[in-house]
Amino acid sequence: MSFSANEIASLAQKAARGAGFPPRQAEVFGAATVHHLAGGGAPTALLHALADPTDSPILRLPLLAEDILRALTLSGPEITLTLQPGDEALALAYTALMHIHIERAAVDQPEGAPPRLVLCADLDTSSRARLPARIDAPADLIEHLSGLAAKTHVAATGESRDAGAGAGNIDND
Amino acid sequence: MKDLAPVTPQTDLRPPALVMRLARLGAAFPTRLSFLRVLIRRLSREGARVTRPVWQIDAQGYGHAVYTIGLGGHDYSLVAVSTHLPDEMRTDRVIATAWDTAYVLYDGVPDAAEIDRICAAAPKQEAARFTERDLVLSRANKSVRLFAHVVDRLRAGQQPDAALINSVGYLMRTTAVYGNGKFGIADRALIEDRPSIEGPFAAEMLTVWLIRSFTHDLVEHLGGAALDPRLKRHLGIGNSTGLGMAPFLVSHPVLLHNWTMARETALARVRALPSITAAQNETLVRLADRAATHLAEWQVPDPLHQSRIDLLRAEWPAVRRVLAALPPDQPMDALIHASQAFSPDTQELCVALVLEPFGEIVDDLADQMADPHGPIMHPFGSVIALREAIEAHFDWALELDFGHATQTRRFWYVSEEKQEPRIGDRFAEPGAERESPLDIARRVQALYRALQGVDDLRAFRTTHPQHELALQRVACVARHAYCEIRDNLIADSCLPIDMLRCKLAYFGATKFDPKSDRWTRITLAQGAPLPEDLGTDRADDWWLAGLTT
Repeated sequence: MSFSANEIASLAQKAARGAGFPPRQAEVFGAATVHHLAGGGAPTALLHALADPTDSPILRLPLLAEDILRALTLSGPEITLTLQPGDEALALAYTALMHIHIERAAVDQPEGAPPRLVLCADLDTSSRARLPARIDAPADLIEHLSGLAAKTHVAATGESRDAGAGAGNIDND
Repeated sequence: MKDLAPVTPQTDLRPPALVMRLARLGAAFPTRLSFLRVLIRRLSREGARVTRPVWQIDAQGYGHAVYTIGLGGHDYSLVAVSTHLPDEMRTDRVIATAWDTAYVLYDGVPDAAEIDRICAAAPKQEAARFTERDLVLSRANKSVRLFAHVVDRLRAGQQPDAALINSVGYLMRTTAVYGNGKFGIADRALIEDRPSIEGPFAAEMLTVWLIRSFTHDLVEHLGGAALDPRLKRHLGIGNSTGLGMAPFLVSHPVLLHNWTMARETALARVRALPSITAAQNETLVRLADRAATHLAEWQVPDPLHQSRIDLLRAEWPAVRRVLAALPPDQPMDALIHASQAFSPDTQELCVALVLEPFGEIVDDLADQMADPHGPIMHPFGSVIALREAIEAHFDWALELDFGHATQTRRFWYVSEEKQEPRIGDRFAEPGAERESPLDIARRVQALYRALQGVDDLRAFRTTHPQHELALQRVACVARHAYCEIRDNLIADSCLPIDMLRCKLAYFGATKFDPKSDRWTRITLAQGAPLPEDLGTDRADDWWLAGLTT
């Protein structure tokens, strides 16, 4: 199935909130999910990230942008950052959210060492990653995200309905 | 050497502590920087022409039509679909499943297959899927009373009653105008670089303005006669808006800042004018008289809101007297100073008034109202810097007592049935544990308290991820002073209607008609140019225009 980027971002954001993640991290995860899927990333990485709201790249990777900025300022344009194990699958998607010109970005894992983000970027050039018009996402991923997102929904009360837009018998005036 | 553009002089900006209070936002009026005004100016400047290549509407008024307009090197088309709707199914509620009319703003000129696709999908609205060629999705219901009256009069060879047109203001009202990727339509990012439609809500405003033309054509088709252009111009397009619109102002802080910064900078530039010409003074007086007429015609059933309008009417003659005796030095600044003796509604109407004659020093600010970058995080270097920023920008939030039920009674949530924002009573209704994060003041206060005794900010952020939203809001307001509503949005005194009015005024809405503290009807494009008016003097002279002005 294909979706707009905003549909995917909104759904993933709600899913992260439904899974128990704090709202800011959920928002960033929503945006990163779009880049992950647009880049052909595996849906399982998203599912793994959502599994544990106490230990997840969703909590750690929002801080990656600041680490990148700091490292680029100190020793750019080519930098290497050590990632937490488990963060490697989504690190590039979070990196793509930054408004800097990225020449090269890759994740590798030397034998016996933690994963690393290897990046060459120009801090002085503002740039934003372009997204395709449609984002493909498998139905089972959408179903899983929708199930988590539903945990943020609340059944509207009668009072709410009575006070909502269009309430009252005046629609044929 | 590159020439530098001269800097337009300006006075100090009004402080966020005044401008961003919720009640003040809820007193906003449309200005020449409102999005519909900006769009119409661009249409007029570009010499845009509307054509109607398809009109397949039957004798009962059902079928479809296509309107096309070229703008900034691109063609855009409104596909309008009109269907029969029994009276018992006509509701403005977002949970409705059928409407009198449905619309798609299409990217380009649709061929027959695309028209067929849209005609099948658009009437289903949220229940259908759309493509990246579909830029905006909307629907509208008839104002049955006025629609029937206009058709009947035209059939009888007469023009409709002007007073009725004035009081209702529109033939149809939209109940939703969806953009930015909803239900599969195009993401805003796909058109945000397009000349003339890159501004905030420009595609949505174009859709609404074209829908208005369709409603005009439909009554003329059914009535078999042409409307008097003067009456036609006064038939805008209505809208019913509820809580669905409110959280946008919280979830898009940079946009809120940019919109407000543009308006406040415009005001500061006008206030700094050392003098004004006699012609400009005459224009101000003419517009003030037009505003008085608008106020006289603005009648609402809600007693509380009507009392505000009554006070505005009572105070406006005093503003008119100030205008008649402006001092020669910085006269606009003097007027704004004088307005401070009046109600917030009158003050904000004065702000909108004084911008109107000074497009030359104001209109360029419209180019700064979009947010192509989104929030950019600028981290604090230390706990001390963060605490100082909170004290500087959220002092009002630190003073609140969140231990008191009055400060936490409301909770915002997303409804299960339509996934729309709603607001509930934390102490009387279930679901507060699923609350949407509009409790910014409470979160920032909690962050401030949690920072007591903390030295290592990075370690704190790692171990206290729940405070990251608050930290981001503080970082945002430190760079974007007008990005935050400076009131507690979960207090029992919070009136969501103020958030709706703020956003709708930026759209260009008038005749706010609150039906509760949670939803309102409004009118857009009343008095606005017709397609044939583009390129004429009418195209940018319709602020608060009424039938008698």
